[in-house]
Amino acid sequence: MTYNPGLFAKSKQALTALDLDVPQNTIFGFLGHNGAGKTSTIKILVGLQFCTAGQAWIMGGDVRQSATRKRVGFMPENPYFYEYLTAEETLDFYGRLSSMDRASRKKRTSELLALFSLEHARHVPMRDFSKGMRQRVGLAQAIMHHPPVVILDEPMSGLDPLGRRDVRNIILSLRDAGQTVFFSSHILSDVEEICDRVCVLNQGKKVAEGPLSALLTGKVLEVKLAASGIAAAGIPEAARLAVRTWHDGVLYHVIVTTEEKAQAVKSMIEAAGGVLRVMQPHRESLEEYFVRVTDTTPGVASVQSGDGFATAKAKAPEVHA
Amino acid sequence: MIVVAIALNTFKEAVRDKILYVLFAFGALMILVSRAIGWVSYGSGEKIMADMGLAAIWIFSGMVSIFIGTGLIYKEIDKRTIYTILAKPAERWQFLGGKYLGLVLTMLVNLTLLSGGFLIYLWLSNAPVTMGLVQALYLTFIEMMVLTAIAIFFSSASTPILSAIFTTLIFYVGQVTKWIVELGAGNPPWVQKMLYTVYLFLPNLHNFNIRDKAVLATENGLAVPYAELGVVTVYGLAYASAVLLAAHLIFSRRNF
Amino acid sequence: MEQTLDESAKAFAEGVAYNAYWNDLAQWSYTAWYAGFALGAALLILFVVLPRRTESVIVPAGPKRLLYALSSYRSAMLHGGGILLLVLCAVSSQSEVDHARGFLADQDRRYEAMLKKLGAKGDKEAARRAQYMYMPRGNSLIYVTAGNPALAADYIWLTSQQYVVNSFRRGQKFEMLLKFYDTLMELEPHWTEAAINAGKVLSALEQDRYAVEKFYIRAIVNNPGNHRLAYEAGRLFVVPPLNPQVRKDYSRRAAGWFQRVIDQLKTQPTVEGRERFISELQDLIARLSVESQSYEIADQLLLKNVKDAKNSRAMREISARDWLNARSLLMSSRIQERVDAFKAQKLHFPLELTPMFKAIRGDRLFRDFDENGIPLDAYGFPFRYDAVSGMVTSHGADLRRSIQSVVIVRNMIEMFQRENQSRNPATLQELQAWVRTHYANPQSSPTPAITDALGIDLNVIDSPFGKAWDYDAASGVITLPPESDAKILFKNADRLMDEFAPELQ
Repeated sequence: MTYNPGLFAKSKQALTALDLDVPQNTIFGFLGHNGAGKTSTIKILVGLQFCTAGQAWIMGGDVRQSATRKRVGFMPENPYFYEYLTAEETLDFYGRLSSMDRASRKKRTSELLALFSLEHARHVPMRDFSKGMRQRVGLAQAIMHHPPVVILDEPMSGLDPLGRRDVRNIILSLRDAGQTVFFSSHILSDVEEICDRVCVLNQGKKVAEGPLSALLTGKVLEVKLAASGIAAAGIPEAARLAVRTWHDGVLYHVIVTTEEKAQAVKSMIEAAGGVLRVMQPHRESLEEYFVRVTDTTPGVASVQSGDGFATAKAKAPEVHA
Repeated sequence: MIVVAIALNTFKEAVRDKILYVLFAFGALMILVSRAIGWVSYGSGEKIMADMGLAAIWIFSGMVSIFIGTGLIYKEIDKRTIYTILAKPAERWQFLGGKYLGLVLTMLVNLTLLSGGFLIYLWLSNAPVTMGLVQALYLTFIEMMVLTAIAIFFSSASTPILSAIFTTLIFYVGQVTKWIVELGAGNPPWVQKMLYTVYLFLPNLHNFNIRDKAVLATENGLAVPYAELGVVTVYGLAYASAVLLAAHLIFSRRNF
Repeated sequence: MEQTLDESAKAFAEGVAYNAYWNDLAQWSYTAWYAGFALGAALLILFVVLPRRTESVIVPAGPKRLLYALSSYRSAMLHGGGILLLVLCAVSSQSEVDHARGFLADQDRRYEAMLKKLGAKGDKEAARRAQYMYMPRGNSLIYVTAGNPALAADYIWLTSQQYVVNSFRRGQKFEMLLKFYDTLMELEPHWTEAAINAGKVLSALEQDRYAVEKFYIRAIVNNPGNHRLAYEAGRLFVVPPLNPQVRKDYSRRAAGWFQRVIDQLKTQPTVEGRERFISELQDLIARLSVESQSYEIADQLLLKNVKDAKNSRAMREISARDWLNARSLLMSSRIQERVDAFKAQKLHFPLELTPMFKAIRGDRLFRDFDENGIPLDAYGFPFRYDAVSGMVTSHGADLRRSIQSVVIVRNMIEMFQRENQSRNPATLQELQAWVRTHYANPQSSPTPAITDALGIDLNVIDSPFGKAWDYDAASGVITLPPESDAKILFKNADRLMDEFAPELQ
């Protein structure tokens, strides 16, 4: 699917010239700070908001047409439901909205309730559901009609580690079944684990995109070495190469910046008669990458604001439409 | 049918709204009390009873329309339940239509219960129960269809309080537009023309008021001939549809 | 498409033509309606014709370019066109409803037409009076009740009842209540039940019958088909007034109103008891006419009823019998005129009627004569004359009256028996004394029927036909003269029926 929204002329937020291509049958992660425009993008994709310029297509269908949404399943952040409906009724209702017939609705509802371990709450009204249960129902209604494209806004927010693991597994199984998953998240470790491609958004602009393996070049940031059998004084040549060295009484730790230097240090340690215990390269994690990428964008002082509106207002006017 | 699914859901939601029961209780109370007031009168006790009963049903149905209708769309947006619904293949007009029909269904149930009780009460009190009364109640229902459309229009555009105020204003003004037109007499012609134009485009809710004729119905118990009933129904449905279309115009462009 | 346009245009034009008050206004809006319709239709056609915006980003060249550019406005066209057409539909329905129900301003026109009809029916004076009475509708209450004048009317009705009984403004209750009731009638002109009750209240408060009649006239103008109002108006004048001067006018008015009631009843579908009611009214009319000495009116009315083939058999027979009475009274009044003229000239009453008869020989009123050439009354009986008092009466009319009076006297005898251990009165004088004592008690004053039959002095001794009642003390029975027998008394009625209603015989 392709995506190309232009400026989005509401006074609060703007997405500038976002060009995105999400291939089929991948898990695509969408990252950005709060207020970067992730939710706006997603809302434009599912037809909740309208972009002022540009177009977006999902599987060849313009997102402004309702027929396109037949192929899309959407779960908003913190989904809300009608409190008085039970889980079963809720799923049935959303199934009707997707024009599913009664038989397939019933079958699918049972399937999903089992899949998400909500069987016990089949007849419980939504108002009695916990946060995790709601999240699961939200995900269930999104995939109710077997959509080839699934769009999720912060699917893991508020879930405990078990819940997050379940959601991760479900997303993986969707991909295995041939569906495309596009989701936004803050939980970078989860993204790192399951995504094939990511895109990073900062203040309405795309600052990075590509397969995870490409972005995380595996560039080694530093290598940690620890050896035993070295005197407290250490190895002076190693200390010159290294960023930091210390001896904790048992092991001599060295931290160098490249693998070549690590190899050199290793030789020095062996030459000094020590035994290498730990040699651990530290590659750039997604979080580090993320911070790096969003930090270098000009005009950004603070990364911590929770409200895109406040950030935008305080910053350069190019953010406004 | 998507519209039907949303309509039924709206009905379930409206039925859970406490205000519906409060209003229903007040309406029923007024109907019951009307008998005592009629009893006090020297002659024409049945007329007073019928008048009060019909007015009670009319007023309280109107209030149901206004209170529940104006909050309807806003609640969805405020509670964010609308996100999952609009993201489905459902069109926005189906959502709006479903909301409207659900509310009309609620109104129908409310009106039928009150009317049924009212007519039975009249019959038990040995007051005449004529077809004219049924006609008047039918037109009250059509009036509520128009009012509900107006409530939904405002509800999709602004907050509940403003919507309620505007809808109530139109409910009142709509009753007396005919007389407002005549305020123009004695003014220059352009004022008269302007008033007349405004009159034609504002909803003339007095069209649906045949209650006085129904209570005093003489020939074969009808308040108005059925042909006139048909014309008034056409007016009501056309106006309600126009308002809903305008509501859709606003709603379909709205960003959530 | 063309046909429906024509039809709706015609309907619209008709509605426009009727709406006199806004005539020029409507012609302007007629053009505007057509323009709006054209615009709405054009928008919808464009919506259908223009291509949908598809996924293709390729902008077509040449003439299609315009269509492509316009196609982004499709949604606006659909909504705009749809709204416009629907609103126009609503507008024309509105005009049709206005056509059916009329604007308030048309009230003026309709009221004029109603007055004309009222005047044409004969009571020109009532029409003239009504003209002064009309007050234009007060609109202020409309706003307060949000277009529900019925509720305001109910409230006024309930409030007014309190003022009837309390002591507020005791001396001016009539004017005050009249104001209430006038407002009531403005708000709910068709609430006839309230009008009738209001009239009853007003007539209880006010001796001036004409003032109350005005109130009824207003109500009748708004409800011309309602016979009960006319009936109540008539009943206002049935009670004899204290002032004998206006008695004739009262009777005349009452007779006029009742006649109107009968005319209206005849146009309505028959219901049970209608015939009886109409005949009672006719009786009343005849009696009133006789009382007001408008014998001509009674005579004409009753003969008309006999001849009218639309009346039922029973009504015609009753009218025939009543006509005999009226005609006889008319005849005797003619003779009485001659007697009075004689007295005026000669200063004493004539000794006998023969010279009078000579004078009336040409009068077409007198058709029957006996073998001596003496005129007979309509019943076929001679006229009686008392030279001392100068009173001329028709024997037949007297007999007829005696048939009605004897019922009352017989009732008196029964009452006497009940209160005197089933003993018959020994003489009529004893009965007379008892009756006078019985009704002297103010709590049991005699009903109008009794005073009508026996006179103010409750005379149970003398019968209307000059002699005393033939009373047998042993059996307690009063016997009427043989010619009171219905067959004999009303034989001329049968003749009349033969003449004017041969198909019924």
